[in-house]
Amino acid sequence: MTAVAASNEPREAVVGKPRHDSIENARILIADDDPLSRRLLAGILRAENFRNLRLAEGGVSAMEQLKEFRPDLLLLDMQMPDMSGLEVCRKVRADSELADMPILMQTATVDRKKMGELFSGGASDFLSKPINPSELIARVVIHLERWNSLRELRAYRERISRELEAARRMQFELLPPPGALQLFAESAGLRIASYNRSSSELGGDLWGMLPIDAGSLGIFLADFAGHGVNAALNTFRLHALIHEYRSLHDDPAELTSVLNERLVRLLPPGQFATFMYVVIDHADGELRFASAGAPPFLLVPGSGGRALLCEASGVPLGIERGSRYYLQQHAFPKDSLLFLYSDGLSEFVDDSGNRIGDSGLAKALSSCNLGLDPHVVIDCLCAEAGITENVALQDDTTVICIDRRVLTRAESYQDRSPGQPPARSSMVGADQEC
Amino acid sequence: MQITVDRDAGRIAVAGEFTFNDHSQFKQMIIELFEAKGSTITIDLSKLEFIDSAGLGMLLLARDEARKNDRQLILKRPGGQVKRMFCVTKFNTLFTVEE
Repeated sequence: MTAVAASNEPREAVVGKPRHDSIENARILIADDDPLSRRLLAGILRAENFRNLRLAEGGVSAMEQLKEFRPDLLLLDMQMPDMSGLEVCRKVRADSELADMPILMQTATVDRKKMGELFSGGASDFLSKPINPSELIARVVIHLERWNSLRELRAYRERISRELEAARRMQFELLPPPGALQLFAESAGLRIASYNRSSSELGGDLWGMLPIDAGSLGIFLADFAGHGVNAALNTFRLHALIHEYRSLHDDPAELTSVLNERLVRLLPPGQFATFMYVVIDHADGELRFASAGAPPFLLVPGSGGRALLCEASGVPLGIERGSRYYLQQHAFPKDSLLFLYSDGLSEFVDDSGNRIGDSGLAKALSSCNLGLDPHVVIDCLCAEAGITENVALQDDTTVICIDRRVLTRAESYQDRSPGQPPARSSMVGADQEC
Repeated sequence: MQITVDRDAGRIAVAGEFTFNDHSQFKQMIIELFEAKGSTITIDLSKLEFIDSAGLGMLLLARDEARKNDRQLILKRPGGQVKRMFCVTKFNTLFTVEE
């Protein structure tokens, strides 16, 4: 074997351009029934510094060695008595772990039909017999480099998706923990449910609950324009800022103004967030809110009322220095229901190409049965908008539903029982603006 | 979104829906915008049926470009949902909006 290798020309003469060292460590399996051919091929490759070679004297032996040797490239003779190269090729391709491995076929044929069979059988490339050393090395190098690039890309993609997954978990942890939220809501005589789903791994929506005192709490919903990593990183910024201004949590207009001033300095042109902040004063039965370009929220004041669209205008956060935001108020008596959403819900394009819109959501909420569990109300309105569990979202979507329905324990259990269908009576009247 | 450009008049008309998917089209619009003659650039929104927050963000980018290039940007005749979005977000205080 060494004798054959020594007879070869210096490696620079065979391959003109420099190549990556790592491919010389590549594992190459040579399958050929002719011992002379095997020695010749191995000799040419060794002369080019390929050290990790294995030889198989037929198709059966090649199949046996594949699993254990796990080659990076298979050099396969077309005609072998025990199992043809084509058959080996097909078997290799059927194995998901080997499906992408480069296979070079050596063939003496020039028959176009047979060549076609060879490629459709899964060969990556072919080498004409008799073997030309320069051609052999050139093709081996090209296929190993391509294979390396593919593996590097895969590893890169896997790393990125692991990191995105970690970031997604961190972002999820920015949201109020469900257990603590329920306990807090119950102590305030409220029921609360939420829905939050991103259109990609990371989203630009953020919501949160800010405990103020025994009689009131704040709920905010922010939506950064666009989605993906950029918007997601901005949600972390906003989360930190909101908690920095704890003393303003009971002042929606002032908190919104201050957040705007801070974000104007942080965000480049074209990036902004819509922001809705509602203080629920459950002691006095009142809502106080301010909005920075956010969609309206829906309010069913008291039992039996229609859903009102509560809108406040304001420049979204992060655009213009000195923007002013104004306080709005609305009664929030017992049995009222508050429904906040990001535009991912109202602007979702359903199967028929329609968007439900703000007024469509108000109509759907007006027709919901009274006293439904807030989770059921959310499911019901999402379904009306065309958003179901398995549907792909076009934008990040957040929905929060809070009611002041005082329940007996028995009622409470009844409402939460699984399998209760979302009630959808016929549409009752149109929405009104408050 | 469909875009029609009248370079001599410094006018661009957009129609249809202006959303996240119009990013590359929008870049083209910016280029057309500054190739147009005159000190004033008008974007006619009368045929625009829908704009989302990504579309609003792109209008803000156009505003920023206009400022940098010392040109006046006028948004003309927003209607329907676009007008409502302009109201909610007070975009009429950020842009010169003509009816």
